Amino acid sequence: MIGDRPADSAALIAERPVEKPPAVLVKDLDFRYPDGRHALRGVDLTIMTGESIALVGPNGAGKSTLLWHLNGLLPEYAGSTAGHHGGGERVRKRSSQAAVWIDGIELNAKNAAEIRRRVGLVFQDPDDQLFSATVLDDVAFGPLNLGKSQPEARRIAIDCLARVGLADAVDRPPRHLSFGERKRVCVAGVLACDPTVLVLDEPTANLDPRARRQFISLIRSLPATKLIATHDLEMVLELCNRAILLDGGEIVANGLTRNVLGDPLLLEAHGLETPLSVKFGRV
Amino acid sequence: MRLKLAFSGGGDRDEGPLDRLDERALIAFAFGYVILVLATPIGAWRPLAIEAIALAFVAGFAGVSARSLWDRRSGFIITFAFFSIMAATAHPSRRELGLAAVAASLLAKNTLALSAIVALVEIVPFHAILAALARSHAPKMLLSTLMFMDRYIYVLTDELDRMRKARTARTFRGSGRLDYAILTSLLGVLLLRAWERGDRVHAAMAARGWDGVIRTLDRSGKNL
Repeated sequence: MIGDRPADSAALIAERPVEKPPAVLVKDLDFRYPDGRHALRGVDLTIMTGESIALVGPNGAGKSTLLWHLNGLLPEYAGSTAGHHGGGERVRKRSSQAAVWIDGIELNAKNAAEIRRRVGLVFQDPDDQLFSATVLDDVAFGPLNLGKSQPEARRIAIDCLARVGLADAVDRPPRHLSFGERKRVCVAGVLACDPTVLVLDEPTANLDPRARRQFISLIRSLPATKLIATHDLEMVLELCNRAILLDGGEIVANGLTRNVLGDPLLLEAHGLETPLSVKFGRV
Repeated sequence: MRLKLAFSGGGDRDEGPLDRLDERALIAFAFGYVILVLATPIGAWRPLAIEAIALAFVAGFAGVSARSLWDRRSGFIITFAFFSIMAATAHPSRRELGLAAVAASLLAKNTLALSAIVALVEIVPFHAILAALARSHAPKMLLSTLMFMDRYIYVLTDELDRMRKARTARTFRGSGRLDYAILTSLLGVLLLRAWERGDRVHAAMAARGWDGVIRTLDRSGKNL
């Protein structure tokens, strides 16, 4: 059943039907920014639990806008975000129907907090995400907001930093870390909220080859359902079983990664290039 | 030239005996010193000299080098000298002591006050100062502002530095120096970028459940 549900987490779980709902369900999502740009046009998307999905497309295709919707950052669902992000409005074709569900929970103002707990969003630029004075404070920020006690939040933060290989960085200021280390701290900060869906925006952008390799290994080791928006098609081939091609705010292809990335005409028509490993038959 | 930030703290300094003191005591001492310096009358050179010697002694005792104090102070000296002269022109002591003596006295006072704060951030890491201020029940808004300032001033100065280099690379003049019109336009662009970044930082905080209260781990017993 998908529809209005109470905000209380326990009640949400109790009401869940026997058949597990998709981890992410997006139906007919339209979104227009205040400047008139129509960023998303009737996007339909279903991601099952445990899937690893790539979201590819040229710059300005609407990838980040879609990711922000999954976390309830667009349009502003919670009061705390009102007035930021330049507003924007969802264009509903059927006003009675919601557009995004996470684990069967409808995304609306009432459920925004629970949705944000379930969807961990890793931003492209770690300096956008890491604002605290120390790494430990930053990773503990999510658990403390979730109501964890001080000792528990500290334990979770230290555990998550250990998971990303940065156990020795707890008291360092984020600015003293390398770009790759800061990206890993961002992942730790998101993991600390124990999300069921992990959403990553350009996770390998600006990383050197070694840091990229470490980061890919880290992403692979995470058991959550993943949606990865990226231009790094080689990484997509490694990590994702399915690829979605978005262009002009519309989904133009949605299928097995090999099929989508193995279609040079499709890729070129939408501003992408066939990955070398596909071109030279290594995959 | 890159701006050396006064509150960057924790330079290449050997630990001194003051590092073992509670941060709150050091903060109280530093602010007490600042109030003492500011309360020293204009033209009272002997008390100012004693205060300067006391500061030099404490800084040396803590292992803070005169060089690092000067490096962090030097970025502000022209501005402070300008303000000192401006203030001196309207100061009541000007008739008695003369413009130069009043301006020099004002400059000496703010030099000592700022040096004391610089010495404090050299001895105590900035996040420890924030935690100590939180323990001392400093206003939450002030603490949040200081925390964000400490975190993002480096990001923004790096951004300004990159823009300045990019602009200089396309400035085909003998000296290669940027004129003020270009510099102010860069600052305008930086302001817009800072605004956009603020939007993204806010979104990232909301994505992790921020509800208007910045909660931090309890080194302080108080949330920011």
